[in-house]
Amino acid sequence: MRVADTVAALCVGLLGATVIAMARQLPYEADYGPGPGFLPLWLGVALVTLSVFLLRESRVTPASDDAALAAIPANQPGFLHFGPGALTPWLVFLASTVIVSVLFERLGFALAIGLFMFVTMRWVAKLSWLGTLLFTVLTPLMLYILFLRLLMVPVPVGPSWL
Amino acid sequence: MLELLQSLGDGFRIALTPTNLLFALAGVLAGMIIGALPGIGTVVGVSLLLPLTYGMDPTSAIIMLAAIYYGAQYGGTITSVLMNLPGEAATVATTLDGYQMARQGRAAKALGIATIGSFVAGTVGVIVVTLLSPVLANFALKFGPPEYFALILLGFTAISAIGGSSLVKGLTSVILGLLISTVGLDIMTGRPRFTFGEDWLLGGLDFVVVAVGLFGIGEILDGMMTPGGHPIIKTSLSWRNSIPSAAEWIRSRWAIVRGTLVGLAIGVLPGAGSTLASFIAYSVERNASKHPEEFGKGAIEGVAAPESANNAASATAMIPLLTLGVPGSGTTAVLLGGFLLWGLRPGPLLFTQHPDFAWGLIASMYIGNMMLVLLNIFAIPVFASMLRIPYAIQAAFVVIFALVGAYSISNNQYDVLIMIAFGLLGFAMKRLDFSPAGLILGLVLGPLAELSLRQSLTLSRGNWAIFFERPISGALMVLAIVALAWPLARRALVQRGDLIEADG
Repeated sequence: MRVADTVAALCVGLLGATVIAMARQLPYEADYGPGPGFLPLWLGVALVTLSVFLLRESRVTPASDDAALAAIPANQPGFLHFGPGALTPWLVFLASTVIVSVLFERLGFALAIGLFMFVTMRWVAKLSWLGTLLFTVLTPLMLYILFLRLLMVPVPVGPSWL
Repeated sequence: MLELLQSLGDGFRIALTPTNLLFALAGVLAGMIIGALPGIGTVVGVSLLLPLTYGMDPTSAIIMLAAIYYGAQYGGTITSVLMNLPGEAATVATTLDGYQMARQGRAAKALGIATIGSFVAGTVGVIVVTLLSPVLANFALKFGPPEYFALILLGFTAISAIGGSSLVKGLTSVILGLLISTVGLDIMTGRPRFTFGEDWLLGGLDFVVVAVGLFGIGEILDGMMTPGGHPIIKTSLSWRNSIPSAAEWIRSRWAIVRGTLVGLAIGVLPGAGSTLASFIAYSVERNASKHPEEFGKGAIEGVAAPESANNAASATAMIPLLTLGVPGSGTTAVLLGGFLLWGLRPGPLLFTQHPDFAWGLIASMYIGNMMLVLLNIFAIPVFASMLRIPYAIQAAFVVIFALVGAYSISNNQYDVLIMIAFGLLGFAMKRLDFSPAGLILGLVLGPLAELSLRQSLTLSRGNWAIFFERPISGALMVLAIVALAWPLARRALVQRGDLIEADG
C-alpha cells in the first residue's frame, strides 16, 4: 500500500498543479466580485497542499511485507491483491464492462446487453451453456419491456438492420 | 386552528376517494420501482411520468406525482442498502452503514429502520407542512447567499464523519468533488471552465453519472476481487427480521428524532434539499453517538438518521413550493412545471384560490406515507432476498442498469464513458481508502457553495466579514468552524494523551 499511497499522493499533487495552471488562465476577479478562476485556483492550491500531507501519511504507514500481504483478505487494504482464482474472472468482467460501454450506442441496447450477458454469465458467473443462453436472450427482452415499453426510457437502438 | 382542521378534513375527503387512493398507490409503487433502478432517480422518474398525467384531473395528477416522489425516495434506499448503489444524492449517506449492515446479514433490519425512520420523519414533516407553512416560508426567506454558504460549510463538516480513517484523504475527496463541480459553464459569467473545447462538457458532469460509476461500478470491481464477491452473512428473510430489536430501537430512536429535526429545518430552504440534510444528520449523529467508532461499519443509527432527515426534508421541501412558488429541490422543480401545465400558480394564493388542490395534496401526503410503510414492511424480505443471487449475476445487472441510467440522462454515449471512468476511479478510491461519499458531497454541494460564496463576496465588495456580521450566517459559521476544528483538536488531544501515557 505504501507504493500505491505514494503514487496517489503524487497524482493528487500533479492534478492540483495542473488545475492551478489552468485556473490562472481564467479571470480571478470580475467587475462585480470573484471571477470564474477564483474557486478553481484555490481548489488547486488545496490539492497541492493535501498531496504533501498525503505523501507524509504514506511514509508513516508501515510498508506491507509479504507475510502481512498474504494474510490480508482481498476486500481489505492491499491495492491489487486478489483472492484465489479471482483475477481471471475480474479481468474478463472489467474488459467486457469497458467494451460494452464503448460500444453501447454503436451496437444498440439489445445486442450490447446480450453480448455482455453471454460473456459474463459464461466466464464470470460460470453458468452452464443453457443458463448462459437463457440470460443472454431473456435479459435484453425483459429490460426492453421495462425500459422502453413501461418507463419509456430512451436507449440506443443500434444499427438499422437490427 | 379550527379552520385549518376543517380544510385538512376537506383535503382527506378528496384524497380518500377510490380514484385518488388508487393513484396514490400506483404512484408509490411506480416510485419505489423507479427509485430502486440505479441511475433513474426521483427527478428523472417524476419527469418521465409527468406526461402521463396531462389528461388527468390536476388534483389526482399531483397526488400521483407526490406519491411517486415519496416512493422513489424510498426506492433509492433499497439499492443503497443492498448494492451500495445510491439512486440519488440524498441516499449516499445511507450507503455508509446500510451496505455494511447488509453484508453482516442485517439487510432487512437496515431497510426496516429506514422504513420506520422515513415514516416517522415523513409524517412529522407533513404535520409541519400543515401547521407551519407560512412561518417556515418566512424563515426560508431570511436565507441570503451568506447564510447558504455558511450552511453548506456546515454540510462539509460531515467529512469528519464520512471520510474514513484519514481526515486528509476525506478532505482530498471533497476537494476533488468540488473541482468536478466546476466543470462546465461558469454559473455567473457563462464562461466555460475545464471543458477542453468539448461542447458536451458545457453542462457539467451529472451527479447520477458520477455516483453510479463511483459507487456501483467501483463497488463491484472491488467485490469481485474476492471469489463469490463480498462475503455476506445469510440470515432468515422473515418480515419479523426487519423489525428492530429493543436494543436497536433504543439506539435508533434519538437518531430518528435528530434526523427528523435536521431534515425539517434544511428541507424548507430552497436549493439546499434532502442531500445536505442527510449528510448533516449523519454527521450530527456520529458526534452525538456513544459509539462513533461503529459508524461506517454497520451502525443502525447511521441508517436511521440520514433516512429520517431526507424524508423529513422531502416533506418540507413542499413548503417553499406551495407557499412561495419556489422549488426547494430538483423534483419539486419538475412538480412546479406540472402545476403550471395544469394552469395552477403556486404561491400564497394557492390555498385560497385552489383549496381542493392544495389540501388534497397535503392529505394525500399522509396517506402516501402510510401506504409506503405498509408496503415496505411486507416487501422487505423480497428485496433482501436479492442478496441471495450469486454475486457475479448481481454485478452484471448493476452494470446494465448503470449503462442504461447513464445513457438515458441525455441520450449521450459520453455519459456512459464518463460513468465507467468514474467506476475505475471509485475502485481506486475504495482500495486506497479515499471516501467516494466525500467526493459526492463536494460535487452535489459545489455549485450552490460557489454561487453563494461569490454572491456574498459581490454583495460585500470582497469583505469576508459578511459571513460573521449577519446573525444566522454568523451562528452557522461558528458552528461550522467548531465542527471542522473539533476532529483535529480531538486527534491532537488523543495524541498528547498517548505521549503522556508512553512517557509514564
